[in-house]
Amino acid sequence: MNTTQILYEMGWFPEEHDGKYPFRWMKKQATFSLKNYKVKGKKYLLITAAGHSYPEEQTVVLELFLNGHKKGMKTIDSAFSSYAFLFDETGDLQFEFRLSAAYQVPGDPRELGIMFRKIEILPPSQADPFLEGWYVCEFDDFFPFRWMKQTAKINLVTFGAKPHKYISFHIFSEFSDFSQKLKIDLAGEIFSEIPLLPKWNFYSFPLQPSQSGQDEEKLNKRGGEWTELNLSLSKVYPKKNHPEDQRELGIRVSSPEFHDDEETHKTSISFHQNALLNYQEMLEGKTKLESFPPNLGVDLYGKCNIKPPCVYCLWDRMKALEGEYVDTPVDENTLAEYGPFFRSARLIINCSFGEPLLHPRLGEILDFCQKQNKILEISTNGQAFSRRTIEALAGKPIYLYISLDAATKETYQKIRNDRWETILPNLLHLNQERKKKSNLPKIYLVFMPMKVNKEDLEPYFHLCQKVEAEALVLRPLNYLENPQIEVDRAGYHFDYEKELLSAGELEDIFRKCDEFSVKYGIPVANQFAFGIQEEADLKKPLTPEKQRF
Amino acid sequence: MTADQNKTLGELEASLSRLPLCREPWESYYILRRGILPCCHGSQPIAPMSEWETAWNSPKLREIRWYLSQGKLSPYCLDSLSCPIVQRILALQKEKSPFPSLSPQQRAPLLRFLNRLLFRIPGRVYRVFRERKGKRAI
Repeated sequence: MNTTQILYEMGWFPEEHDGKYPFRWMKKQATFSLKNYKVKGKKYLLITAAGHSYPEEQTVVLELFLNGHKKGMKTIDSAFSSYAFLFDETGDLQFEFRLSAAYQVPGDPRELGIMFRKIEILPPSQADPFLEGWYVCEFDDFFPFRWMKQTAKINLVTFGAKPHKYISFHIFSEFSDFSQKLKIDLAGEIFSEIPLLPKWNFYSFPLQPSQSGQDEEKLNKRGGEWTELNLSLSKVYPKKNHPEDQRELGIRVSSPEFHDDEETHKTSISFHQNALLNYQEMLEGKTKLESFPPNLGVDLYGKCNIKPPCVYCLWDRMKALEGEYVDTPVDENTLAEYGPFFRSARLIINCSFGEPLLHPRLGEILDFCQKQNKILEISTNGQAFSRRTIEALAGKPIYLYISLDAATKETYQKIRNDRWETILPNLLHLNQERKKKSNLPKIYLVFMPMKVNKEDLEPYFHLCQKVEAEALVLRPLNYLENPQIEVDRAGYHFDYEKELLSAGELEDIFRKCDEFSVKYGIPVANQFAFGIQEEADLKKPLTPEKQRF
Repeated sequence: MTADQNKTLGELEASLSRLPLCREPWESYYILRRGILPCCHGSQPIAPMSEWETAWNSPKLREIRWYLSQGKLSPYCLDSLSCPIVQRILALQKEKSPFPSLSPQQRAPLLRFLNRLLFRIPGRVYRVFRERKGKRAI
């Protein structure tokens, strides 16, 4: 049944258009009907509705009556979101909406209730899986996601989930202290209640009672009620932390998937338990840990394609330090051998003195990490983008840090070499390819402010804009006592000690970054703020991931 | 995770007034060819690459954790001058210091000279005391 069969009766204003979608206002009370409706069994009345600028302290409640009987009530949010009412009547159906309040706006004589974008009546098998408590899908973060309100429902029938044992999501919690808890219940029985880990994490939840200590018989008896999964949060993100967005924001949730893989589920559970234990041990100040770290640094590849090395690189010293391990191969099998260190890690961070994209098994490593629900952080010099590497990277959950430090050929050759001309076309190609695959990897252009490149700051923002980078990463040139690194390149004498900027010069760089960030619309991830990032995260809840280094 | 465990975690948070000075040695671990590092700014490896299984709870890493949990920088951290946290703390100390123009490296000989002149406490006594304090803590 589609909207054309709905007969709008009293209490509606004519249809309008907001430039993107048609909608119509309802008054304080409105009715519509359906004649001779024959579909038997349970059905949903699904609405997509929004209020308008209510005074903040007031909420508007919508009540639904069907043939004179109350069917439910919903609190309507000021942003468009979905709401569902379940019913099983057939025949001539008379629906009536009643609102707790309606408002008049200056310049408009009408008494306005709420806006309706869509009214649909559908059996569960055809209804939108995101029944209610969800906002529209957004694509500007790591995964395509929906914001969930404090409570939400998922229609399991649409997903054909009944035969499956587990439901899995990627969930992003804004709270870094595990204080936000998610409860999941099915037909009134609580299946899971867990504290959420900070940022994006993979979760697998049981859908079978046997997982929560019940028996198969009970599952079969409940077959008919197997339609809705209820999700509720212990708290939502405080509005004062996102003043630019007044919606009720709980967590970000990727599209759910269903599976029967015991191993995936067990891994998810132990991963979650370890993360909690790790946080607990840190709070207790324990020094001997039973838990494993949620971030694992690895050394994928020890060879580099920039020879001689970049002027500031500690190549010779690091290779001497690597000693007998200099040629130790590290690939997906090595990662698996790290056992609990790998299984417990949420982020895998490559920290090699070498170019990781040159790894002969790059594709296999990235596939393996993706299958294990790991997020990767890879830093590259930007000179190893080929058809093979771009193919391997596209569509993978990776934070790709591209260290250029220059926006002009002249500066680039003073720091690295004369291959500047190949950089931009390759970055544009990478950007094109990732757009075909969920806009992954995420691209961050790294800028280490030094004397040699100070003048390139504004053009670097422009470069970020061109390649549609997620952010410009401001990374400190490592402070070294008596570095004794002096290199002559492209007519420039690079003296490490003299390249380090003073506190005053850095302040000037930060101020300019703020200015250019607004001018070019490119966010800045300032890694000089390492260690106080958590505090910054709380002030800026809608930034993507913690920028590690 | 049970509800009881959640409650414990909540209570724990409420009872603790302070997170460690830096969370890295709990949250991160770097298994690199150049050795095991407790954080991305670590100056020197705490163990060779092959000892990745045991270095996680090695005395060296436990000592680093102990200092940080007490709100202090460990000697290892103080040697890791590229760490922005260390830089910030040293800058603050420098501001408060009676000799603000001197770096910690320059200040040490001056303090040694003053000690020799005024107190004459042997350096090895101070070092032994400091090492014992660290060992006792872990």
